[in-house]
This record gives sequence, C-alpha cells and structure tokens, in this order.
Amino acid sequence: MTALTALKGQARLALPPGVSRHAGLLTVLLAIGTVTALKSDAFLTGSNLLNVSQQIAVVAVLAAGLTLLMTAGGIDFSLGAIAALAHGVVAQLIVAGFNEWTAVGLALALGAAIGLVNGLVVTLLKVVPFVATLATSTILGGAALLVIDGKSISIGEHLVSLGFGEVAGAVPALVVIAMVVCVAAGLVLRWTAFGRNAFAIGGNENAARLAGIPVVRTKLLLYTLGGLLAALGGVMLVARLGAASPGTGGLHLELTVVAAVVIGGTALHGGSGTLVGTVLGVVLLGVVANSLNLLQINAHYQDVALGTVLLIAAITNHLRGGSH
Amino acid sequence: MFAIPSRSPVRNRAVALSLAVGLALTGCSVDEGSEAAGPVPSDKKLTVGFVNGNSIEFHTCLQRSMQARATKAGVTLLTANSAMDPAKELSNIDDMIVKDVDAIVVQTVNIDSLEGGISRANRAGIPIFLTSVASVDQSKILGAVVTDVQKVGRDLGAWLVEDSKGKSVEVGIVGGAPGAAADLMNDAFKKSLGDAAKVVFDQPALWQRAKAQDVADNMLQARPDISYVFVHNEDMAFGVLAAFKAAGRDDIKILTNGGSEAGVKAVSAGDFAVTVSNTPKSVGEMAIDNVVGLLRGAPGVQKIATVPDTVVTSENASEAPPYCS
Repeated sequence: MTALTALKGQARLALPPGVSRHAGLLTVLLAIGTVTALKSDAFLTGSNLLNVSQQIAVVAVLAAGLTLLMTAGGIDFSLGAIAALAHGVVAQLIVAGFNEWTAVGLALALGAAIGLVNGLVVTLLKVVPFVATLATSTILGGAALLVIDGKSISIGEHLVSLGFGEVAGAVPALVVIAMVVCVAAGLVLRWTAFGRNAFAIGGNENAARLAGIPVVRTKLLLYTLGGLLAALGGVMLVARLGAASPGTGGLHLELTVVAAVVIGGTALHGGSGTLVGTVLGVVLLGVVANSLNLLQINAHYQDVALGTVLLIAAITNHLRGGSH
Repeated sequence: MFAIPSRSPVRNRAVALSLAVGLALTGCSVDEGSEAAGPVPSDKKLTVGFVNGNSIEFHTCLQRSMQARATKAGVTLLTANSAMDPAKELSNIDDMIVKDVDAIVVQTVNIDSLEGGISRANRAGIPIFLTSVASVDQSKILGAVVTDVQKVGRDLGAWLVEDSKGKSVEVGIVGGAPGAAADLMNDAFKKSLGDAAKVVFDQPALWQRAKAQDVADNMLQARPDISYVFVHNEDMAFGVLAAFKAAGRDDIKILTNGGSEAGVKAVSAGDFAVTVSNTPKSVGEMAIDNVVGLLRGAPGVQKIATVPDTVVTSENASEAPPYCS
C-alpha cells in the first residue's frame, strides 16, 4: 500500500542489504510510529496512512532526483524554487486558456531547461554547484512570485484527475507517480551504466574521467533530470491544491528535500547513496509532521521536536552505516 | 570536482540560510544621526520607506494600495521585503535609514523582535510607523494603522455560538504561525466560544495553503467529528477546503479572516460560512494618509487608527469592501 508498510514488511522478512543498511533509520521510524499509534487511534488506520503517503508524494519526487545528483557529487538548491515556478506557470497557462495537459508539458519542459542551465553553469563554467544553484534558486523564487503576481491563482476543476484521482480505486494518483519515480530512480542508480557512472563521478571525478566515463554528459543529464522532476513536483502541488499560491514550494520544500536525502544516508560529497534510504527519510519526515498534528503538539514545540527527530535519525543512520 | 565535507543537515541548513540572507543584504548601515524636527513643510516632497513582511496575497495587496495612494499624494515610496525573516527586517530598516527617508512604514514580521529596529530608527531621527499591529511603546513610534485582531476573533466566536445555537460542538483551528497577532486572535476566539463549543484541534500551518491542506487532512483523521473550523486567513482556508472536498466532507463549516475577492466569492458560494473583511487596501491607504498627515502636522489625524472590519456571510457578501487596489 504505502512505501512505509512495504518496506517494513521487507525488513521483517529478509533484511536485504539495501534495508539493513538503514536499520537505524527504520528503528527511529518504528519508534515514532509506535508512540503515535499508542496515543492516537487515528494513526494506524488505512485512511491516515494513505493521507500521509499523499502528503509526502511531492517531496519523494524531488528527493529522487536529488539522490541521483548527490550520488554523483552534485547538489541542487533550486529544486524547491523550480517546483514553485512550475506550479505557478501551470496555473497561469490554464487560466490563459491552454489545455491542462499542454500546460503540464510546457512546465515540465521549462523545469528540464532550467535544470540543464544549472548543469551548464556547473560543468562548463565550473561554478561550485552549491553557489550556482543557490543563485538560480533566488532568481527562480522571485520569478515564481512574478508569474503569479504574488497572488493565489485558482485552476478550478482542472487537473482533478491528477490531484484527486485514484488508481485501482484506492491509491491516489499522486502516490502512484511518486512510487514510479522512486522505483525507476532506484533501478537506474543500481542497475544501469548511467547509475554506476554517477557513483564513479561522485567517488572520484578525475578517476572517472580518466576511465573514459562521459563526466560532463552524465552531469548535464542529472541536473536536467533533477529540474524535470522538480517541475513534476510543482505540477503535483498545483493539482493537489487546486491553485497556485505564494509560499508554496521554495526554500521550505527545498530544505525538507535535502534533509530527507541526507538523513537517508546519501553522502553530501557524493559516491554513496540509495533510493531506499531517501524514501525512508521522506517517510520519516511525513510521519513526524502527521504525528505532530495527531498528537496536538503545541506549535511552539513543533520545530524542537522535528529537529530532535532529524538529529537522532541522522546519528543512528550514520552509526549503522559505519558498522557495515 | 566540488566536494563539501560531510555535515549534519542542521548545519547545512544554517549555512544555506545565512548565505541566502547574505545574498539579500546590500551594503552596511550608517546612522545619519539627523535630529527629528517639527512638521515637514508642505512644499517639500516626501519620501517614505515601506518594509514589507512577506509576499503572500495580503502583503502584495498592502504594498500595491500604498503605492497607488502614494503616487496620488505625490509621495515617493521606496519598498523592501523581509520575507518573514526578523533579521532581514532589521537590515531593511537600516537600509531605509541610510537612504534618509522621511518616515519608515513597517509591516512587521514579528512585533516582539521589532524593538531593535524601532530604536535604531529613533536614534537616526527617522519616525517609524506600523501597520497591522502596534503593541509596542507608543511614544517611540510616529503612529500606526491597526487591525483589531482580537475583535476579529471575538466576532467569529460570537458567530459560531449563534450558529450552533448552544449545542455542544467540536471546533478545529488551523492557525498561521505562532506569534503575537495570531495568538491574540486565537485566544480571543477561544474565549468567546463559551462552554458549549469545544476546541479539540489547534495546529499551525505557517500561512501556507499547501501546508494548511496537509494539516486539515490530518485533522480529519484525528478529529473526524469536528463541525466548525477556524482558519486564520483565507488563502489557508482554501487549502482546508480542498482537503474537505477531497474527503467528501461538505458538512464542516469554515470560519476565516481576510475579505479577499476569492474569499468573499467563496462565502457567496457557500464554501466558507463566514469571513471577516479587514482589507489590506484600507490598511495601506490609511497608512499613507496618516503618515503624510502626521509628518505635516495636519490636525485631526489619529496616532493609532483602527481599520474598520465587517463580518461577511452569504447574506451581505455582495456588499463586502474591495480587497486589493
């Protein structure tokens, strides 16, 4: 049903290497799940788990792209801003009378193009990715506000099939998209030459180049893919919300995505990372946000609670990762 | 190849934030130290600095209405945005001091952290004027245009009590961010509910529509028997509405605050039960009028003025005042 339960099931059965590596993170997740379930009857219901999976779908899509990129030693701080821009562009195009799927296609193309520009700045102009994408993030954050003129833009009943549709009568379309993206990204990273090239570049870029790996082409593709997935996240945001709104996406989303990926054990300096870890990180953040509401944690303590959980998760994951 | 040494995400977050702030800063502050003088003569053209707190719809409309009014009054308006960051607000105020404006209008991010900014402006002899809230030492400011957020909370609470006819009902709250204004409104709302209506859910959504949708989803899971929900602004109320629609719950009445065009329309359509209109258009216009009046020493200008508000239901939605310029 959800990624969460699927992974828990796996962990109990056989503990494949991809999961046992994240035993620390799973422990934290189970601990939080147990505490919340004991204190709130609503937590472990099917409808609440579907609810959580829907809330984390967008973060999961962005995090999948970032995991691939960070494994290759890159980073993109503009993903949240690309999502914000894409969600505004879709809304404005629909309001301007474009077919909804044309609008989606154009927004995805725009996201990919921005990713490509990020990649060109990083590879050809050799700007440090952290700085380059922080700069583009600032530009795009402003552009996102310009596109919607700082106001909320409603898309009415458009994109309802995406935002509220269900596959097989139960699983929300947004969750299906997120699962497809994460599984595809996981397979690409693990089982294709492209994925292995990403690991090699993240491990030692010079060695990778000398070994004949097309470093520039691989990185350009990774940044483009990151931009494309961020735009897809933006499309999902606008479809679910039924409107584009200032403050959606942006730095807030970006930090959540980076936190999820890093907690999932992907190294900031590249050369190591798994999609399983990233998905666990995303699920953890979603479950914590859900528990804070279900348990009625006082607003003033929410950041303290969130930060503490992140810290514990990062520490346990690191300890487990080091012992293997 | 670029490689950052392994850091904790929290540290990384701090680096990202400080860099973002650093990029946004321009120049450093120099106190001019000019003394505050008497009324500004009417032949001198006024320049007013406006430090806005955020870029959501309220703030966009506030700035637009001030700009329009300023142009009409022949006042030059310089603007800056603090993006919800109190530190950036302080440097924006510093920038305005360096530009030697005649007065600084602040739509503050957080009134509790504004004191430093006020005393800096005071030292530089530049009068400071507040919009929306004014819970500071009023001898230190030129004046303020405020919305009576406690009245908004009381009005909505009273409406709920009347609507529920004394039956015992469960009430949820989807709030903005913890802080002075939202807390005042929330406390007044809760206090006016009496004994029959009970607040069983109260969680923040940080003024974000998407976040409000998530919080409302979670509320439906935790407290499915809620029959009223108070949402601190209309943009978030639309997020809550989307969550209710997805869950097929059209039985929960939404109470909110704002008076935007879309919000009033939603009240007419029955999507929201009630909203309170206290528009940024009137805040902005009154702010410019009163700043000019107070600077020029015009008689009859109130130092602390309250923006008129109206409770809007489906009955009077067609007469609601315009929200934006």
